[in-house]
Amino acid sequence: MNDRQSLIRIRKALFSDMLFQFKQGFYFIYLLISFIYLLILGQLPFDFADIALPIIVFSDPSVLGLFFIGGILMLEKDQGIIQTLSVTPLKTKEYLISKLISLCLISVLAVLLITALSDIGSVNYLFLIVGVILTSVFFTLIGIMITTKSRHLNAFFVKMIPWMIILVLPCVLLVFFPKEWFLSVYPSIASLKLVYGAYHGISFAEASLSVTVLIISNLFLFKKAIIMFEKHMIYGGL
Amino acid sequence: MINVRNLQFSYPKSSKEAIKDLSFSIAKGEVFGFLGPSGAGKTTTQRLIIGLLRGYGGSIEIMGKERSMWDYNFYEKIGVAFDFPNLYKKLTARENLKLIGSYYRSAPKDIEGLLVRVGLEGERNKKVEDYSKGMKMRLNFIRAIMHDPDILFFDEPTSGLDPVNAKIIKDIIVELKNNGKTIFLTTHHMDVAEQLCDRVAFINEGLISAIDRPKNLMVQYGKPMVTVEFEKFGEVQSEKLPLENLKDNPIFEDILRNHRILTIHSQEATLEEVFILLNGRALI
Repeated sequence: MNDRQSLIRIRKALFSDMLFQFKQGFYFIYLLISFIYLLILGQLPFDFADIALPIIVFSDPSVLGLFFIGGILMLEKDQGIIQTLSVTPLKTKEYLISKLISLCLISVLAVLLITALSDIGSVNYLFLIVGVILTSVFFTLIGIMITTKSRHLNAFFVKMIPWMIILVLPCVLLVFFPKEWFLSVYPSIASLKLVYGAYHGISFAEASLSVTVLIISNLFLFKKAIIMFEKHMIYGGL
Repeated sequence: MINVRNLQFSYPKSSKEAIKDLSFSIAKGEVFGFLGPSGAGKTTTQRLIIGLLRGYGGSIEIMGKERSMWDYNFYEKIGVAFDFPNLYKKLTARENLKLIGSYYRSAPKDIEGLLVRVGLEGERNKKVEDYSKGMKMRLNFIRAIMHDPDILFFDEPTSGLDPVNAKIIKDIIVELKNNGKTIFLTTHHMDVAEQLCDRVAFINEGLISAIDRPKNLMVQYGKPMVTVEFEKFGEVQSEKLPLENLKDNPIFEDILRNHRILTIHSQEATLEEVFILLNGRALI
């Protein structure tokens, strides 16, 4: 009974989130950015586009996802929505799951659109979708945690920079050590490996390691995000 | 319905106790007013009862269970209207009510009726960002009551409303009380408290200085006098007379017999005066 009620509330929250994101213009921005990506890719020679596409696809749920979750939560906080929802039966866990699903959906759709409209060879769509979902969840959770410690959107952007450096910069290591499996224990590298592998091939063992690392990281971050969200955004934090 | 005993609370990183030692009970169907100036501890107490602040000392028993033992089902049974309207700005009034109402097991059935009741029927499809403060407050109010909760928490429910709309909200509060709802009302507006509350508690610096019916407080701390305004030789004059044995007072008798009485007022204190008397400071 409780699980059923919980699923119903998540479904309702997802509908609210999508309507909110649509009305606040997030989907329009996403569409615009996807269009710009396609224009850039169309201008690149095939050899470059072949490498640029996975990187763009990786940046979509990661960098963009981080920006978006910051913007969404700050808008909800400013409008008092978080305070209102905190006195409804919607649990923090359900609220955050809905945010994760809404941003996953938008990332997967954007990535599929960009991939479908790009002139690229064979793509492993299973790895691509799994990679984008796990990456989106990972970066959204990081974004939620940063937001809980930020009073305003500007503070969020300032606090986001070191996180971007910590998470994205090590991905450069893949250029020098493309075959080193142990790099996959670093979640953002695991993400990039999965997404890149979807276009250029990845062994099952390596994909499994990346997926495992991301699932464990996401579960840990999810628990942490709930605690931080409740502490800073609900209990005494408003 | 609500039983608070020796409640204490300090905010993290603060050495000062926001709530020092509060005890009070609220019966089912009662409108209980919590009055005090800004920073007195009204909102903190309300947030502790609602469950938006944790780590209190003492006890908050609500609907037969300690507050800290309640799970999220608690929110099915209460409705909260904060002092500031918290709504989706880019969505319409109907969308706001439908989305937020959808989280409750007993989803609101008569959103249209509620909109009509607070005079927002013509604006139901307008974005909330285009609403005035008063319109947002009215929408915020019906958002809190739409799922038919047993206990309602209103923080300054008439703030920003003109007298006509304030009366509509006050009438709904009386109606809710008549339907057996328990209402916890925090305000620093004495007239609202006087008109609506069965009992009021004065809170100042985290302590309650008095709890009683508004009328009792006003009489207890008032002067046992009556002021009579009357017309004498074409001029308006007034006399202050002791209430005791008024009927035998020769001055009163003379006024009654020989002059046209304009007004007669007993000299009970206002709630504001009682508050100042008990706490040594004004409410605002």
